[in-house]
Amino acid sequence: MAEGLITVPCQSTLRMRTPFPRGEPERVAPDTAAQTERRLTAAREAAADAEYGAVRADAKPVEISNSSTRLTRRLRHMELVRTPANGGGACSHQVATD
Amino acid sequence: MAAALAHIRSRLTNGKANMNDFAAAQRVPRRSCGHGAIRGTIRSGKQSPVIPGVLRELDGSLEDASQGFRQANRNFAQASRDIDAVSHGRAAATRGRTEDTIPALGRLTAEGQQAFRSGYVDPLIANTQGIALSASKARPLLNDAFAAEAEAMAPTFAARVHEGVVCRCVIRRADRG
Repeated sequence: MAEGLITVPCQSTLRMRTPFPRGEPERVAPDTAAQTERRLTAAREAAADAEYGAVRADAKPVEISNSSTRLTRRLRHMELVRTPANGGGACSHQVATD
Repeated sequence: MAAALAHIRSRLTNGKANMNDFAAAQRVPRRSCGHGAIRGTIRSGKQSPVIPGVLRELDGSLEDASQGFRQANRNFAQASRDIDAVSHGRAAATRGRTEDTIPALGRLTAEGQQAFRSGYVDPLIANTQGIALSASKARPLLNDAFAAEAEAMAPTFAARVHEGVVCRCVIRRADRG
């Protein structure tokens, strides 16, 4: 004969006892989820304002030629490839017929 | 979208020379997001990955120019993940298996875990508040999933609950051998 010890929740003891001894103030969740989200968002914004503001002072000149070149290339491509959705015809390449 | 891209480009270059002022470049993404053409593109639901891609690339250039900016970006991203943990916790209380929710909790930072807990208990408290006075408020929590998740999220509390509400039952099993 072997004994296995398992624990299961018991309804009768649940009703009789509470997790906190008598006299101890009942703890409740301090914030609702929405309040927590608002608090964390406000903290993030405040930290971001301070940190992004601080880095402006010691930053080097920024090199943005890659972004600028990519944008120019993309715009040229869009001008060439027009679709009905962006206001162009089925084919934007006007082929000389004469 | 062409108008949106043209707007961003006009802020970065005048066609002959590129802007190199860090503070001005830093303002481009924020101001661009408020631009009518870009707002319209986002609202129409036709937002392509191009605009976020361009803004990300600009962000990378700014990070190369300033170590502090890189760190500020990381902090902002981490804070955003902590905020997202609230909704992940809320979802974990209502669906999903403990095999997924407990490891997901473990991967979070301390702040993220706190946010996750806050989201997790919210629907449970709301449910408890809505239960009729004569009914057992504990019944919805008497399940294996909650026991395991409470143990992972708040071990001290779970231990005290365990002391109070759990009775031990000994099951004798016949040893066939």
